[in-house]
Amino acid sequence: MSSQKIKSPPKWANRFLEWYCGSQLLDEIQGDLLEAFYYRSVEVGDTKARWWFVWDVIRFFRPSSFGKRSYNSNQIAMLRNYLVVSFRNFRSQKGYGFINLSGLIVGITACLLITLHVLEEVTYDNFHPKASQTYRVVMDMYGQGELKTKSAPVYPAVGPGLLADFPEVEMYTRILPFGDGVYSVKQADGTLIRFNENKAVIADENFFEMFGFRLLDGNPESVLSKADQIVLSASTAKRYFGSDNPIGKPIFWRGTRELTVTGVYEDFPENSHMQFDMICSLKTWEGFDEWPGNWGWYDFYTFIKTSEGVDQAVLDEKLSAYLDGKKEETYTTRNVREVLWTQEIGDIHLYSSGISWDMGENGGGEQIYFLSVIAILILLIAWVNYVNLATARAIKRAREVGIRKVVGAQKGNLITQFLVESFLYNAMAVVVSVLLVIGLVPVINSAMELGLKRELLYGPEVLIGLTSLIFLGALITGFYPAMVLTSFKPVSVLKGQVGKTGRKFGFRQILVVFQFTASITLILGTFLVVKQLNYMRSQDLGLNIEQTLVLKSPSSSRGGGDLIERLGLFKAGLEAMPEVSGYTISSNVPGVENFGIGGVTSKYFPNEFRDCYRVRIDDQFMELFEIDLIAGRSFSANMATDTAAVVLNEVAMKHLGFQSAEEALGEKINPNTRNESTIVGVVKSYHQATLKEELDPVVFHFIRRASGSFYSIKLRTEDYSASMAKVEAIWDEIYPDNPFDYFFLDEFFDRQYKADEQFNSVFIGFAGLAIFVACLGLFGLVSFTAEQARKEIGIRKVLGASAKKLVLLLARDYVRLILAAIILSFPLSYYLMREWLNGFAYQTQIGVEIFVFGGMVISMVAFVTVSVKSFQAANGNPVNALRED
Amino acid sequence: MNQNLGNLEETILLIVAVMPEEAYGYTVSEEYVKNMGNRISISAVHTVLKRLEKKGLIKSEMGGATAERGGRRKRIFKVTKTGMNTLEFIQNNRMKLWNMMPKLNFSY
Repeated sequence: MSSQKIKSPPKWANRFLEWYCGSQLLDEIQGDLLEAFYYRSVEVGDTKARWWFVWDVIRFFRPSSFGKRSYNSNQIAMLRNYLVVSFRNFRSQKGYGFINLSGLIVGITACLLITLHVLEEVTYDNFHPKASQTYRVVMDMYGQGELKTKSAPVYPAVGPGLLADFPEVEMYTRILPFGDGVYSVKQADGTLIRFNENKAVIADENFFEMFGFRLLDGNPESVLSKADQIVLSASTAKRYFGSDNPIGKPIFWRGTRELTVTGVYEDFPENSHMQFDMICSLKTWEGFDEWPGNWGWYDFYTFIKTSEGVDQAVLDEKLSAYLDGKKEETYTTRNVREVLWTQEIGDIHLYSSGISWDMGENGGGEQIYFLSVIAILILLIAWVNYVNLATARAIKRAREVGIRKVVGAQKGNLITQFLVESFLYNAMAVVVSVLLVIGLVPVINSAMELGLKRELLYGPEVLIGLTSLIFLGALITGFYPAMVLTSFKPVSVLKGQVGKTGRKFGFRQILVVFQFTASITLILGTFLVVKQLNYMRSQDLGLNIEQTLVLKSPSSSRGGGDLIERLGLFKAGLEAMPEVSGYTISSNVPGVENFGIGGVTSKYFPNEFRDCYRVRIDDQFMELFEIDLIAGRSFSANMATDTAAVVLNEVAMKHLGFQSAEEALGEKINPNTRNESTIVGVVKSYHQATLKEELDPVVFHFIRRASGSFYSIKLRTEDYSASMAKVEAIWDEIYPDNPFDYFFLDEFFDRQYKADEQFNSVFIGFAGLAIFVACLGLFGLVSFTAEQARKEIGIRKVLGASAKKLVLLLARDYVRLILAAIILSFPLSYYLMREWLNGFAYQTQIGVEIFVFGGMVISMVAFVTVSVKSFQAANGNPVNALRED
Repeated sequence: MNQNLGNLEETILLIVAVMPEEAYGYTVSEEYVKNMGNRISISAVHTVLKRLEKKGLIKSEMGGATAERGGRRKRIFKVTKTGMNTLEFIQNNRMKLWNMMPKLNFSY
């Protein structure tokens, strides 16, 4: 017997067989299989027989083996009855069923779409090893006790310092965003492949250990360990080397510096705030060795990994006083202070608004919050729809309930019935919505330039979420109708005395008011978003950026004064072009974030560094961009002293303590220091960035040697492509080793509004959906009331009432509800609008017209919805209504 | 006799008819393998047996249980009169055709 015990088929397969197999069939099926296993295990061995057995069990898994299960349970029979009745109800009342279902579908679809977006945003940078222990160290900078700037980059000494002084810091990585410029690769035939890179950085050697980016080729420990090493992203490697293996090949930075490619990494995933095309080793930078003592140059993004179980709050607490120990002297003499704190790497993307000099587009937490609110609102509106319609229909189904009660149904049974029904609706809606989302995502992505990923839908969390959505929806939407229906008294129902309850202010009315309050709030919000965007765009920027072609200045040189010589040639070429009305060279143009910031003193602030942005310009800049001069003059190429002269903008003038432009003229900045310069002019402030930002103080310096970063060319023709081709021809002749990288300044500037525009269209879309769903509900309710009052309308008509009076009679109640919703929504939306506008430095007026217009739109829509059905009812032939019975 | 029998159905019916010992799912499938040379799964045999029973060609009754079957009883099949007639009918028709076969045929 013991040998038999060893030889037994897999237990789980046997149990599975017993589970699905009908009890009458178990004898023959299981018996045969066991017997087969018994003999086979002797013949072909135990293992083979086991597999055979499993295979047979799977083969038998088919309906004919399940047998007839007997459901003696009354409840299951009733459940089946509920399902049947639900379907019959849907069939016989297609209109309501359809309105109900489509409301739910629209609501859930909208909610899912927003969820997709939100999910993507909140999963940023969660793929790094030990992401919850990885932090970016950032710095708050105080001057005279008030917060001046939050800086994303910090000093190069911070990383090594923290590693040495804090036992809980296990490693650090610094990233210096200064790898930009022209990179070139010489091909075998002598031609150059050249690109202007603006996503190139310089990083510490443990970069690939710190972050979860995947190195495809190269040793993660040594790709960045020596000077002059560079790692490329797969797509960048392809740009320069095609299909060749780039490892070990040389690539030239700015024409002269030779770097060796040591690795290739997979392009960074989209959900990272870091997007680098190339990473150069930090040791390449001259002065690398002196950095551990450098507490002055804050351009280093610094990431640290802590040991397990370190609390971020405790860490921040310890960090806050860290710099005091390092820079005490500076702090006391200048009355400034800097405080380090940390951001978890996953939080950087959403919670970095207000942090300057950040990498990538960060800080959308607000929008995520608004979108989530909208998603929940739409879902609520859709659910409310269901509740409303189901309750309204309850009167029609009162007879069914009455009969069920008479036959012996308990309250519990009836509640179950209506919950089953709402479950069916919700489940169907969720399934259709998921399919819709899968189909719609590509369309929406291409229409709105979004990057929604439907793959996110297939994750286990979402599936669990969807299932709970079904159950939650079924409970929320099913419970109230069930309570209403089951409260009817069978006797009065069967006598036909239900449905004429005279309550004016019932739960249903409250729900309608809620729906419309939410919709109106969304509409008003839409108007405001549009208005704000238009306001920002129509504002005078303080300069003229139209018809301006901007070229990125060449950075690849042949050494020595080569670039300056060649610039002379290029200028001569431009001057020969009749289409060009002017050109200027500057270190920055509007729309490009200015990294040049420095402390400036004046006679009013002799001991205090006031932060001002620095822009280096030539003598043409002010004229070309039509920036208004308030006092004094701009730079002149003929004045040799202008290298020690500066022009201030209005904000900088006030920032440095001067009362008026006239007063500032002739005064010095940085008096009695090496950097003393005379103020020769004051210009009006212009907007460097969008109107989301405040105007910044700017000090203009003169560049005599013409090594700015941007060449701006003003065109006087409308034929851009032809003149651009001409400029490019000149460029290619003079700068064959530098790529022709250009943009039109107005378009480039406008691109900053892209995110707002997307938000705008998303907002409009969802507000529209919300109104649509609310109107669906309203339509359903009105048509139900009209049907209820068919007889009444008929009698009134026979007695001589006009159609107009009848419409008013039907619409009156709803008009009151809409009015209530309008009154409720106005203060609510005013509050929300204020909140939203606070994110902008330049805010439009909220204005009465938004409310008037919004109120009118919603009234119109509601009126049309109500009157369509009412007219139909009022214009019907009374005979048809009265003949029944 | 116009029962339509498939090839597999006919074979299984024959096997049930000729089996000396008890015919049930497992033994039929073993017998099939032994005589026909290729394998057949037990579930396929079950399906065919059920179908034949439905057509009234075989009948079944529950038999005894054995230890090898884990104490499960067998469903033992026997050929009915109709089944026997069907088999004979098919065989006769075939024989008629075979008899018409020319004794010497050089056309191959």
